[in-house]
Amino acid sequence: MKYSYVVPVVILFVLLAFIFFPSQNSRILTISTTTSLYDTGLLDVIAEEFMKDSGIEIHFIPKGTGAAIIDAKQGVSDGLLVHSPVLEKDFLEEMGYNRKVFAYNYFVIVGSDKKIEASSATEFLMKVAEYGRQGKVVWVSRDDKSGTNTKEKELWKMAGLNYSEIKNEAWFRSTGTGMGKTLLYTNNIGKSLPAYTLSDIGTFLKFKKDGLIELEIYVNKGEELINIYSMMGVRGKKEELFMEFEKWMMDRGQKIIAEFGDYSQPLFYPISMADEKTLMWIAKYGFFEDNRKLTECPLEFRKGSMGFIEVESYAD
Amino acid sequence: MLIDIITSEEVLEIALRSIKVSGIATLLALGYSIPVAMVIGFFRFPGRDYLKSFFNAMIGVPTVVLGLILYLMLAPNGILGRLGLLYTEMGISIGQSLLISPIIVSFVSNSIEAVEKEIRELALTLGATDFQASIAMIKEASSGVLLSAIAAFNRAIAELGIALMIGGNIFVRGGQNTRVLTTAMQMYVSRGEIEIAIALGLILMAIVFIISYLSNTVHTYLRGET
Repeated sequence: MKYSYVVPVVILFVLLAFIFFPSQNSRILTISTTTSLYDTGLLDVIAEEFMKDSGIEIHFIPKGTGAAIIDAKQGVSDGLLVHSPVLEKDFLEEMGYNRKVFAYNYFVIVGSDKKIEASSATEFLMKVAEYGRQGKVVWVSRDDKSGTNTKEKELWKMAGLNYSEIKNEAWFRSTGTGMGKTLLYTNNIGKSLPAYTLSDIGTFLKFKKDGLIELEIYVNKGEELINIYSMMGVRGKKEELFMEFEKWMMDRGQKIIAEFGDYSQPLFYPISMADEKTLMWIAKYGFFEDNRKLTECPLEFRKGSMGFIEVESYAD
Repeated sequence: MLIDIITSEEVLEIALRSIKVSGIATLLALGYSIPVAMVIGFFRFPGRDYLKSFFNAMIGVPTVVLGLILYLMLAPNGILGRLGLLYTEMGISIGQSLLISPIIVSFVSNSIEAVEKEIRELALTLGATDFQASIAMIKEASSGVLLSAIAAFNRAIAELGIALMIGGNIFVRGGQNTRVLTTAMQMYVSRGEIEIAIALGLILMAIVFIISYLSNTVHTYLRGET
């Protein structure tokens, strides 16, 4: 009875000790990443294989590209795996280093009905807007500042339409959420009215294979649909470990990326397997200008002994 | 199929982590909430009513709001960034303990108030000191403490906002993981793997029901004894 208060006090002290001396494994890399990359399961495989090879534990935190960049600004992450060259450029200049393109694939325009025929993404979007205004079709947008959403904005711009204006029109639906949920939403709406959306190929194939959606691909070709995945470190944050990961990704990681997925077509193409023509597209949409050359990472943001791809800038 | 998922090693690990993380959260919350509840229950001081209504109001605090505030504080550039708690199990536990603390404070202070008068006077007339009388009251109020602990644990294990924002749903085989039942469910739904999500949901419901059942049993037992 006299000592009955001792037990809770001891428990409390043990817990407090636990709080203030958390076991810190310094060989942990925290990497913020995009949902489209994470939800395919590719990063699970990469984390597991890299841990086997190097003993370094990677913690992937999946968020939209925009949110992943905020994570890095909060000092949370040691690196980023993202797919939005426009957003990456600002980040690289502010606090990034060693940007490397490690994989690519293509966005697809998918929908519920073959009402629109077009040979390119921009032509397709122009028709969506035209039919949309007549109340015949709807467009579903993620509108969440993700990499996919950034690409969508670029495509609307190329189609000669103002994203922030059409956003308020009746045929334009924003989900504000991830790719999977957006596909499900498009699928549901599509049962009453032809509905279309822009998707990364990975999420689409996965949902299609699992029988969750009945959507079909309508546009899957064209350089403007290229989806470029790149990685970069955050300056001053576990740089050595991150560069080790970067080297591994350019080496053994490339093979893992190429072999990943059990679908009718590959989910991702490793950059090391890109042919001349594709490389020029990647340079056009995913490289930055530096000293009259196009490169994945301008000279001043390079560190260590990595090699970086450069191509001669060409007049468009 | 569902059985295979439920008994798989990965799912068991996630379920056990949920129990561990929310269990520690409940213990932590009990540790600092009971003294607060005792002060509110035993003493009359200015502002006491405001304090009570504050804790009552905080019972319903949205988990995403608390999660966001904690994320900004615990991020390395935040004011508590040095503790290195973001994306750790302990981080989730502390966040959840803050979430459920008001439940414990309200429950316990109410049950202390309910037994206070009779027991204190009885104990004092029987020759107990003030301190002994207080201990006697806490024993009387113990069923209130137990009930509050169960309600608190159930709220903690079922919440998503804090576990996601502070935990980050990390999973690497053999690593320092933070994936719990709710964050795993959220992930599998967004990956379109509904079956696993359903299995995890069933486990979560089972845990909540079992804990509630056990608490009822203990509650009846405690009542019968006094």
